[in-house]
Amino acid sequence: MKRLWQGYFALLGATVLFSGLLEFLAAAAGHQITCPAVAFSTGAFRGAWGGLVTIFSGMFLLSGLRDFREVHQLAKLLMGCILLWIIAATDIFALIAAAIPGTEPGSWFNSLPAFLKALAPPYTSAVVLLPFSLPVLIWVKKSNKRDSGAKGG
Amino acid sequence: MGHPNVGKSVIFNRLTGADVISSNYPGTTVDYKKGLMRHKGEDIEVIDVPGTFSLEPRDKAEAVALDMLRDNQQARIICVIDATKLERGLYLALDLIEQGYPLVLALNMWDIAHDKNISVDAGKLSSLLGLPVIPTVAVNAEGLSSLMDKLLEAGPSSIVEVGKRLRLAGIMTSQACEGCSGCILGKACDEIQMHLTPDERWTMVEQIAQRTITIGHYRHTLKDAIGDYTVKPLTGTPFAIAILFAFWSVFTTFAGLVTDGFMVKAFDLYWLPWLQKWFPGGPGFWFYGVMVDLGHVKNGVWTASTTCLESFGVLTSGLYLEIGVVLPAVFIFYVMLAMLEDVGYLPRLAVLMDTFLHKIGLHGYAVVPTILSLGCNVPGVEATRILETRKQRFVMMTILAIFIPCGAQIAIMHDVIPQYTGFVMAYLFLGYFVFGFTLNRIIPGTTPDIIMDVPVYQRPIMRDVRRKVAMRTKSFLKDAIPYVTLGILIVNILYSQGAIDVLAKASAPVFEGWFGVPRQTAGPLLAAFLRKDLAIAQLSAIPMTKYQLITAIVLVSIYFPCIGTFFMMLKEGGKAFFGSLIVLIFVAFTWVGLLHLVWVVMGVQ
Repeated sequence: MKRLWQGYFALLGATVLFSGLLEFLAAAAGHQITCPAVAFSTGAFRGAWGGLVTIFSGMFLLSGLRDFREVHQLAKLLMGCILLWIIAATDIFALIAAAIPGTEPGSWFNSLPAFLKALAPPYTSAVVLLPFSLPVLIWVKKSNKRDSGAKGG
Repeated sequence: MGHPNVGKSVIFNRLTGADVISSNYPGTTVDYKKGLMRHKGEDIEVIDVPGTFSLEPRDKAEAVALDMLRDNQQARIICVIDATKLERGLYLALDLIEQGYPLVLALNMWDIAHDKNISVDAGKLSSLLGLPVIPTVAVNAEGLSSLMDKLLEAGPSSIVEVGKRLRLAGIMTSQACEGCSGCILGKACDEIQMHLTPDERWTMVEQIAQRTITIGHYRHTLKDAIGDYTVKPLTGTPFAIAILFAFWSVFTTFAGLVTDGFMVKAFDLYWLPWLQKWFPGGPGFWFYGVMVDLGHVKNGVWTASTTCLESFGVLTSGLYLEIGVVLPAVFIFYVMLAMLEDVGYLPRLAVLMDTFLHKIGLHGYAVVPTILSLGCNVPGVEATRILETRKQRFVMMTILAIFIPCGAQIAIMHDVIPQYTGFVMAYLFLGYFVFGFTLNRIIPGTTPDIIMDVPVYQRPIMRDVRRKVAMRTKSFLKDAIPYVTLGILIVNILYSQGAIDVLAKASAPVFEGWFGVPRQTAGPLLAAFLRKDLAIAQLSAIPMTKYQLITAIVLVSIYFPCIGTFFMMLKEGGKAFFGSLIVLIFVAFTWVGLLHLVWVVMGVQ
């Protein structure tokens, strides 16, 4: 079971690292990547800076793999996920914020269909990978349970 | 009283119902605050003072606390101690006992001590010290009711009596004398009654701690491990880069949503046309021009403005800038700052930046005034009190006032030149380090090493976050709106009287020759003394190339502090402030001139 999870997080870490590298290098070179499933930003801020954070996220995930149930290793794994969540959360916030105001002249808010259309894919790689990082919470919960058990005992 | 970051301000807020800003990092309080506590039908004055480690001040903030203590010899003192670090707090408590103050000990963060398996025998501690000892959890108001009751009962304390109790408890090593702790310290009674040396006080602390604290087995938790990783350079730096990314991303997204999504529409489509239609006088009347719309001349015909940004009236541009552009930005900045403060991330950032900041004569805690200045320079300059030496305060105050743009300024920059904001910020931060490094070499004085106290990560309490954001935003509105209104009024009057044209003509060689910007920049520079955000908005209306615009914005940012910062620097810096001014003028000429030179060399001017 442990090996299975280790393999899962290794795959996640490698994917995150690869997508971060792609984002960062594309933004640094000013190159546009077109992909139907994933949106890549070429801007210096989201592309380069955000890509750099995604690279760090992948590195944390990979460095926390070995014996990841040990608290310090799990902390690295969790930090990798936190970095990914930061990028994903800011992307989702930006997506929602752009979809709220009305685009028609004189309208304050978008209509519901226009709002939903604005939220449609493609999403950034961080948003796509976000659900796959959530299983780390199972291990966080187990670790917290262990801590409170140790204190109680 | 108590050490920094033990919860004094939280207790003060709870006792008095006041709104004093409290945060999860040392040095939040740099001045004293007074409030009234109503207890059993009686109004009692309570004073919150900055944290201090002992009765020997190390910095200006500690001096405030000790001056307050000296000026209130009859005061009853709540000595707040972090229950997880009892020994350190006891040292200060013994110092206060030695002075004879009526004292109550609040063992705060009792819950955290419990989580860490640290158990303090409050009853035994109380009987040894001969004063009330109350366990408290200030953030939840636990124990504060008993604290109030006991405070009123507190009588004068005595170090000799403490010694006597230690002897009676069997701690003393000799039966040679009565009524003092001299024997446990190897001293005679009359000596011990005079004054304890620091070593003697520590010995006494150790004796008391041995008999009152039990430390159980504690296993490193996930929270502790993440806490450790966020201060180590290899793992903490990527985390800091991610936090800064999130900060900037949320800031720009929220400000963009409110300003571009709603405020621009409200002001340009409704407010401006309504005023243009109904304001008395109409086009051509000078008061209309000053208050609503200066307009512009197109093909020899006066033409009304179509946006609040270009109309430059007190009621149009003035309100649009502060309510429409700056308020949303400042609000979200303060929300995020409050979260970072209360989570406990700022001290970790301070540890990470310590080595780097030593190169410019500062230390890690310089992060606190710097980040506060990104909201508003005024509290940033005030926060320089947490720095120990005159040299540090001078360097910090000077580079803050010159190179750190406030939230309002950043918001306007992001509104009028979104594509160049990053470059301007990078150039300003580069100046922060270049001139900090230079000043560190030139200014005599020392930069002491400090041991930083890193608090545990905590979940922010939303009530406190809301309160802090509300207080800071209210303070911004109170300061900004009158100054912007006044600024537009003065500049408009000067324009209408031709004074700006005269000034622009006289300063043309400097502006056009040295800085490489249009001479009309003289007008916004005048406004910048009142509000820099206003000046940047004015710059956007002057026709110039993008390189000139970047240079002009850098010039407005660094040439002089705004009026609020000016007076705070005068108050905090005293005579040194005039030294700062000289540095400021020199820096403005060199740093902006250098930028002009870069454009010339690149051939893009």
